[in-house]
Amino acid sequence: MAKHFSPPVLTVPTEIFLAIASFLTTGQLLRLAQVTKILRAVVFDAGPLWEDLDLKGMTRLTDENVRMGGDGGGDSGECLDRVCQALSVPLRNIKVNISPLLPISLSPPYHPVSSATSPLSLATASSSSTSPTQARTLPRMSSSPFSAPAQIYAPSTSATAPTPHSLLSPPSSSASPRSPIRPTSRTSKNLISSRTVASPNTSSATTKGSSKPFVRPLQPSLPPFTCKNVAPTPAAARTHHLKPTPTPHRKRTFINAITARAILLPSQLPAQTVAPIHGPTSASYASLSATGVSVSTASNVLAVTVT
Amino acid sequence: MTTKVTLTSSDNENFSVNKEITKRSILIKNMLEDVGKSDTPIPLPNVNSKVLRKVIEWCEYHCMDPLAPTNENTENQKQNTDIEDWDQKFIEVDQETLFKIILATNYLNIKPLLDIGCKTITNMIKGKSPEEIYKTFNIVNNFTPKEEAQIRKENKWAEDQ
Repeated sequence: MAKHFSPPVLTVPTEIFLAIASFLTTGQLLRLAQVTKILRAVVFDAGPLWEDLDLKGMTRLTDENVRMGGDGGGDSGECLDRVCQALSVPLRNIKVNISPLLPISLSPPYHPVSSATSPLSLATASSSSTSPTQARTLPRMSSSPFSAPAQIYAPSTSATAPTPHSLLSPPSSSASPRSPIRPTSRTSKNLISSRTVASPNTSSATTKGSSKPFVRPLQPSLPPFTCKNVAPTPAAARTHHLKPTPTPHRKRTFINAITARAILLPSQLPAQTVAPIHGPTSASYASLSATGVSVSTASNVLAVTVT
Repeated sequence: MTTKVTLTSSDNENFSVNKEITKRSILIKNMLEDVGKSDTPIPLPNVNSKVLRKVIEWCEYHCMDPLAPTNENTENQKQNTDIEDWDQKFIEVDQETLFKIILATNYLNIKPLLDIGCKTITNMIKGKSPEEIYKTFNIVNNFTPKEEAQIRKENKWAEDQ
């Protein structure tokens, strides 16, 4: 009877596979992980890949500055996690694009910074000089308007969270960076809304708790804004139908964040705002969207609504 | 005057090697430091004679190389899979021997040789599809078609890059 030939089986320990995996690029590593269940487990569970991609969900992305929206709830990391899960995209692969801006004139004390630090395209996987760990440990400047996120995503016409594509997709051809804003573009419309400033002299139709915040795009013929960095006082907040909260400092910080966004061009943002997607800034987008922050404009007047 | 150390392979073959050469292996170096002056052969039960001969050959060739720094896990070194010509020829062995050399160097703690082995495997994996990897390493796919389709879908973003 012929003996069944079986090739010699070698037991290769996990650390050898990890050593081999350390020389592979992410794409090759994923291909290796497709080979067998064990290799997949080795690559994904035991591998240091998680440390790079931060996919394991062990780290919560939170930003206390934006958590206060509405009732103080809102898990800022959750939305981004869900988006990444839905698209099977690691966090590092997300590109954050800043859309075109209004021609807003600047007023002191904001000084332009060099274009080298422009966050027009924050490709965090390759271009970011700050490591995720560093980003997580960056001190929060809650009292500074520069703690504003690099981009605020406001809902388009309702208070619902944006779709993953609105967060992740690059700007459309009709809205290339630095080109004049076009109100017909949905993204542009959102950004117009998010970049206008709260004026203490006028009021708007939106109030806290309203189910459908009024969002109106700017007319193309409107003249450029001249904005001032006015941190609203509790009185000003009342003017804008924002209920004074027991934590006025936090509320003020939030308003400041919006205000800072409104008067700064991306190339003029300070370097501190250029944070990788892992950092609190990225969480801010998700949280702002998830908690239903909307900013509406009417005749150059802005109101911030936190639903 | 150079001192010699005797290494005993798993199949009880003795190798008399220069002490300085054996110090390329961190395991042997530590053992020698622990034992002190002793003529007792050092048993290496996890390494057979064929593999040990190869490892000693590599150590003799690279005896003059500076010892690798401990913290060399920089990004550049990780991505660099180039192997020197001599090492390339040295590592041209059948796959079973290659894996045995890797296992032996891991046991003996000879990081430069371990890296060469891992780089060789990496170069065999590079640019290959999962199907080609199955064939190269004689691996049996244990994913169900449904799981495979799901994984392919999940990894599509990486293939597009």
